Amino acid sequence: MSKASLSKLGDAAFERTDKVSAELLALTYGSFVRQLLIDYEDAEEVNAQLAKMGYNIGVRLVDDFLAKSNAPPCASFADTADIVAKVAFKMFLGVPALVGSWSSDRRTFSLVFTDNPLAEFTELPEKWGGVWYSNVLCGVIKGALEMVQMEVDARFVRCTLRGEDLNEIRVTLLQVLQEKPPVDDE
Amino acid sequence: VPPVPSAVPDGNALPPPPLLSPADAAAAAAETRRRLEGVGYDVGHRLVERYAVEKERMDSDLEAVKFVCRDFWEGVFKKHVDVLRTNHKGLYVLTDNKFRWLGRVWADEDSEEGGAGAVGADGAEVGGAIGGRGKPEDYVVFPCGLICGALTRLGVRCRVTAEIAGGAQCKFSVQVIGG
Repeated sequence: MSKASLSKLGDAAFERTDKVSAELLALTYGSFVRQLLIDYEDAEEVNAQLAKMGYNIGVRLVDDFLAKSNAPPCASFADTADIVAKVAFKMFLGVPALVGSWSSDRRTFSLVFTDNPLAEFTELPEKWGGVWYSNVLCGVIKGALEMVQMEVDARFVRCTLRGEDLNEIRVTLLQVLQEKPPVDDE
Repeated sequence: VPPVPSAVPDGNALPPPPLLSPADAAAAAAETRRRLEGVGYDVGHRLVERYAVEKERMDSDLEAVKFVCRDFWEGVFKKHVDVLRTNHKGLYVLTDNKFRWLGRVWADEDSEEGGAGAVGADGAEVGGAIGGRGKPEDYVVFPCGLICGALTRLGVRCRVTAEIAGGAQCKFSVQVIGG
């Protein structure tokens, strides 16, 4: 499927999705991050907690995605990258991402986006310079892809809150998981 | 569409909750609710400023409550409160017959509170989202904080509790503090 038609698919899925006020989302996410900073007092630990929250969201969100997005099956990891960027990002976040910076072994790519609805009103105090504010997204990607048999590592490498001009998440395919029947399957 | 695996792969998925005595577990749950309500309060406090920025000053508690029932509810829940009642002694009851945030939540009869629950085993059911974790009551803690934060910012010091009355109907009781 061409990238243009994937974009259309993303737009259509976004139109169908129930919306929540962007202000509410941004303020709520910000308040949760702030509470985590108070509770854990450590940037690394907060990053890990955000990723964990995201993972738990991702393993469930993928059902919604498969049910409603009409996304075509992925024949390759490159297809997966395009679908995450063009369809999933648009559907759930309202903004598409760009895919780029493929590694030579084609197992690592970057998701790049400038507008970040999570960080709408946010400034990162210097004290918390080590926080990847939107790290929940990495967890969501990891959780969702694991449900479709791809174990990945996802991590922020650039963030506009750190003064850079765009956001970049590096996604690496670690392994393709073997499907296992459920334990008590008849 | 790729097949949906029917079990969460081993490893870093949802560890079982730590074993606590019932009293400790209740205390931990209360603390979690308090924090969650605090986050809601914080959001309500800031959000209402954005909604009320062009409004005239609200002189009475009732005006502030009405503002929350209409404008604030519209912004957050995309509808108005269905019924507002008051005893004229500082108690306001806001009834939303179809509270948006309970639309996909239902009581999980099979699991005890805090039970590990099977996650991912419920296939494509979106409503399975709570997957045996938490009860419907847990889902109104944040909104209670939200409403309390909004009203407090509008000058109404209050305590907010919620009662779920079947389906997605929810009654929020606002008790004004002091006078």
